[in-house]
Amino acid sequence: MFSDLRFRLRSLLLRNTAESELNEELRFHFEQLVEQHVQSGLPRQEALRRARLAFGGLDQIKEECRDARGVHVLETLLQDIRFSMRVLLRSPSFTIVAVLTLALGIGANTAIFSVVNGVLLRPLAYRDSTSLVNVWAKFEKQGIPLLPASEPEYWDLLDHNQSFSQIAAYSLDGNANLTRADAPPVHVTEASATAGLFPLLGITPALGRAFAPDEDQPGHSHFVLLSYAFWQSQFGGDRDIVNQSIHLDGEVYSVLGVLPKQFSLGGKQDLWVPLGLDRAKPQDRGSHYLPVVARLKPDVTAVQVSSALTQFAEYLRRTYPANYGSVGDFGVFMVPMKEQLTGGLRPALLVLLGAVAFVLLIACANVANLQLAHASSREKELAVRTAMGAGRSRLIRQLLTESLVLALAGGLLGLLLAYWGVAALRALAPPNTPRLDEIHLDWVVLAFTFGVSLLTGLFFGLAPAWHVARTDLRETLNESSRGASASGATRRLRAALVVSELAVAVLLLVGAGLLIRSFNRLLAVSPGFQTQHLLTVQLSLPEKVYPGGPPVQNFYSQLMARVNVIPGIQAAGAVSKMPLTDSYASGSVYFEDTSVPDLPRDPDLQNLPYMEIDQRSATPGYFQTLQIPLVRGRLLNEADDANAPFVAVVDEDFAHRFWPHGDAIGHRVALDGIPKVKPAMPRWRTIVGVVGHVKHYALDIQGREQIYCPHAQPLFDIFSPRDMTLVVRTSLDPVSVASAIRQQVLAIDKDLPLYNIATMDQLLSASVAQPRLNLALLAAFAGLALILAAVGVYGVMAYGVTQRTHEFGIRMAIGALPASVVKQVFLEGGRLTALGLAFGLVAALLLTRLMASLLFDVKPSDPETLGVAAVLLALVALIACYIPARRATRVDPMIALRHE
Amino acid sequence: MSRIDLPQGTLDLLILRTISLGPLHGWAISERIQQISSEVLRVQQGSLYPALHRLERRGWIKSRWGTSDNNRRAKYYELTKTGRQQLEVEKDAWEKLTAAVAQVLGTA
Repeated sequence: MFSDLRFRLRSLLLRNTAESELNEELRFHFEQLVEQHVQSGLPRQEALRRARLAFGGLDQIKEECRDARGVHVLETLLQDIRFSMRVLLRSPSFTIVAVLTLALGIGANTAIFSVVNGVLLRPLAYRDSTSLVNVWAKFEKQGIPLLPASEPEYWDLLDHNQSFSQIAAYSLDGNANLTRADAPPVHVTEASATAGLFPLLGITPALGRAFAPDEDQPGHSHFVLLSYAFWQSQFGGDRDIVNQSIHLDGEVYSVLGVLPKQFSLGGKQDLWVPLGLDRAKPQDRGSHYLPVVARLKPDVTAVQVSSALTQFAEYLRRTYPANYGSVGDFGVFMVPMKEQLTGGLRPALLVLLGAVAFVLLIACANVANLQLAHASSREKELAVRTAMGAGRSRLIRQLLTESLVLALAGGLLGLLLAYWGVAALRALAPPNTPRLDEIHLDWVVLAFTFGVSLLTGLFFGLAPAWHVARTDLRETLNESSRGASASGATRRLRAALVVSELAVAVLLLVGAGLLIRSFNRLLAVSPGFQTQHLLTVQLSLPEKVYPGGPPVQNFYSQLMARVNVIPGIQAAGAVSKMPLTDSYASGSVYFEDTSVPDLPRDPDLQNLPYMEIDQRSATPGYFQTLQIPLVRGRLLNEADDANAPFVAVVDEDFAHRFWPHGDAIGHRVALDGIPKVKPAMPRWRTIVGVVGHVKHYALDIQGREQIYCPHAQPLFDIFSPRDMTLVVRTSLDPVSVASAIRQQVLAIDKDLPLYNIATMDQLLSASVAQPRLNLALLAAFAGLALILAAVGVYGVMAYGVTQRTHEFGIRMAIGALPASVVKQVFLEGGRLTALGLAFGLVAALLLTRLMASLLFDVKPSDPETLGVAAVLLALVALIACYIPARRATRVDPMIALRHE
Repeated sequence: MSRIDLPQGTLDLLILRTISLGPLHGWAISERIQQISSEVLRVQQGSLYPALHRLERRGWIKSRWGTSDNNRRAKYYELTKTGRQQLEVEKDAWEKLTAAVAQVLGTA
C-alpha cells in the first residue's frame, strides 16, 4: 500500500522524469527491433518501416503505461486544473468579478466564524474546562435572578458539598492605590481569590508561583499576583519582580508571581490578592459578593448536581429562615463556566453567522449566474471538445474543476480579507467582550474556510455543469451564434437564482433595518438625566487612611468645596455608583408602613417588611449636576449631615410601588440598624423628596426602584462609601477640567490617584457598544447583500439584452419606439424583483423572530421596516435594470442585424 | 510457427518467471519469452510495457537503469522479494489450472 502510494507520488511529482524515462525505454526497444531487422538482412529503410508497423500506436502504449502507473486520475486532475487556470485567465474580467464576489462572501464568513470559534466553540483555556461551573444563588420573588455567595454561604457550601471535587471563591471588583517613592500614585483594579482558585482552574503563573493555602489566611494574606499586562505596563516586564515588595493602599505586599497573559475571569484586573477569609468572623450572611467556581466530580450528572444544590438551598432556608425568605424564593444553581462567560453573546453571534451565510449564498448565486453566462458563451468550445471525443462526464468534471479553482482562489483571498476583518472586529468590539483575546484565525478556522470554499465551489459549479448536461452540444455546432442563446431551462434557472438573491437580500435588509430601528429607539430612551457636558472621574479612598465615617465624609465635603470653585464647572456632585457603568449596588430597604402586602419580613429586625432596592449615596450637588428632575418635596442639601435627622430621596418608581395611593414624602424607611444596639433597631430615615427614575444598568433595562442617602449621613458603618464617582457639568475641555480636579485631589491627599476619567457621553456610548457593533455588522452584511443582488440583477438583465440585441434591432427597425423596448426590459426586471420581494418578505416574517432577543422596543414583524426594506431593494433593482434597458434603446438596427 | 494469444493474467506470470533468473530489460524479456516458447508466444510491446509498469507499481518487480550488451542505456527489471513469493503463488495456481483443464480434456 505504502509502496504503491510512493510509486504513484514519484510518478506524479517527477512527472517529467518518468515521462522521459518511458520515452527512452520505448525508444530502446524500438531500436533493438530495427537492429534485429537490419541484422536479418533488410535494408535500414525497410527495417525502420517494419519496426514502426510492429510498434503500432506509440502514444497509445504510453497512455496505457501511464494508466498502469496509476498516475492517470491525478494527472487528469492536474490537467483539468491547468486548463481551468488557462480558461480563467483568458477571461480576466469574469474571473476577477467571480473571485472578488466569493472572497467577500467567504471572507465575511471566515471572520464571523473565527469570532464564533474563539468565543463560543473553543474550550476555555483551563484544565478540563468542561467540568467547571459557577454556582449562584437567586431570590426569584425579589427579582434577583443571579447572586454571588456570601461568606457564610461559601463555608456552608464547602461543608455540604456532594457534587464538586474542588470549590473556590473570588471577587473581582476591588480597588487599590499603588504607591511608589519614585512615581505618582496609580489606581489599580484588584481581584481576590481563595488559594484554591488557581489550582482548580489549572492555571500556573507565567512567573513565580500562585498562593499557598497558608498565604490565604486572615492577617496573613499580603501577597500578590500581577496580571501579565500590569506587569508589563508598570514594571516593564522585570523578571526580578518576584519576591519583591509593592505598596498597595500604603501596605506592603510581597509579589509571588505573574499570571499568564490570557488569564481573566471577566474584566481586566491588574492584580490578584488572597481573599484571606476569616471563618471565625465571617461577614454578614446577606452580603453577597463572592462568585463561586467549582469543578464537577467526574461521575456526577447535571441532574444530580441540581438536586444536590436544591437540597442545599432548602437546608439554608430551614436553618436560617430570616435570611432566605419564603418557600420558592431562594435557590442555588450552577451554570457551566463557558456559558456563564459567553452566553450573553450567543444570540447576536448566531444571528450574524446566519447573516453571513446568507451573504455567501447570494455570492454563490451571483457566481453561478456569471458562470452560466460564461458557459453559454463557451458552448462552441465545449462542442468542439465533445466532437473530438471528450465525454460529457469529462466536460462536467472540467467545469466543476473550474468552479473549485475559482472557489479556492476566492477562499484564499477571503482568508486575507478575514485576517483584516478579524483585526477590525477585535478593535471595534467593546473591550469588556469576553474572550476577545481568543479571537484569531487558527487551524479550525482555516479548515472551516477550506470546507466552505469547497462547498461553495460545488454549489455554484452545479449550475454550469447542469447546463452542459442538458444542452445538446453537437447541435450547438450547427447553430449560428444567435441561436446559441440560453435555452429556456437555463434562462429559468438564471431567473430563479436572481429571485433567490433578491429574496435573501430583502431578508438581510429587514434584519439590519430592525436593528437600526431598535438602536434608534434605544438611543431615544432618556436615561433619566442630561448626559451632555458631564465629566466623571473615580476616586477610591484606602481603608487604612480613611477608616470609614468622619474622615471619608470630611474628605469628600472638602473636595466638593474645592471642585465647586474651579472655573468653568457649573455644577459638581459625587455618587457611590455612576449610572450606566455596569455597576450594581443594591440592598434591603425596611418599611415602617406600606400598603404593599406580602413583602418578606426580617425576624432579626423587628419582623419589618423589606425589599431589595437600588441604593446610592450622593452628595447634595449630584441631582443638580446630572439634572435629575425633582418630582416632589426637596433634594438633598448641605444641612443633611450626620448631626441632622436622617433623610432619603426616592425615585418615582419607589414612591409609586410602595405608596400607590398616597404621598411617599414623610414616610420612614431604614437601610440599616442603629449601630451597637441589641436587639437590632432600625435606623429610620424620612423620605423628603421624590426624583425622576434613572436608568442605572443600561438604556434598555428599566431597573429596580431607587433610593438615595446623603453621603454625609453614615450608612452601614463598615461600608461607608469610600469609593465615589465625582461628576461635574462643564462645557470646557474635559481633559483640562480633569487635570484641574486632579490638582485639587492631590492638594488634599498626595497619594490619591484619579481613574476612569470619562465623559458621560463616552460612558453612554460604551453602554450601547454591543448593540451598536451588532447593528454595524448586520448593516454591513445587508449592504453587501444588496450590492451583490444588484450586480446579480444587472448581470442577468444585461446578458438578456445582449442576447436579444438582434431582436431589439429588428423591433426598432420596424418602428418600435425606444420606450417600448425599455418597458420590456423593465417588465422582466420588475417581475423578478417582485418575486424576490415576495419570497424575501415571507422569509423575513419567518426568520426575524429568531433575532427577537436582540431587538429593543421593535417587533420582528415591524411593518415600517419591512416596507422600507422592500422599497430600497426595489429601487436598487430597478436602477440595476435601467442600465441594460438604456443600452437596449441605443441598439443600432443595422449593427444589430449584422450581429451574427 | 503458429502463435497463440496469451490468456488474461498469463503475461504477468511469464514476465515474473523470465526475470526470476536475473535482471532483464523489456526487449530481452520479450525476446526470451519468444525464444523459450519456441516462437509460439509472442509478446506485443503494447501489452509488455503497461504490464511491466503495473508490476512495478504493485512492488513485485523493481527497475534500474543499466547498460545493455551493445552498450546502450536500458531499463532493467528484476524481481523483488514479494515478487518472488508472488511468482510461486501464480505458478502454483497456473499448474493447478492446467492440470485441471488437462484432466477435464482427458476424460471428456
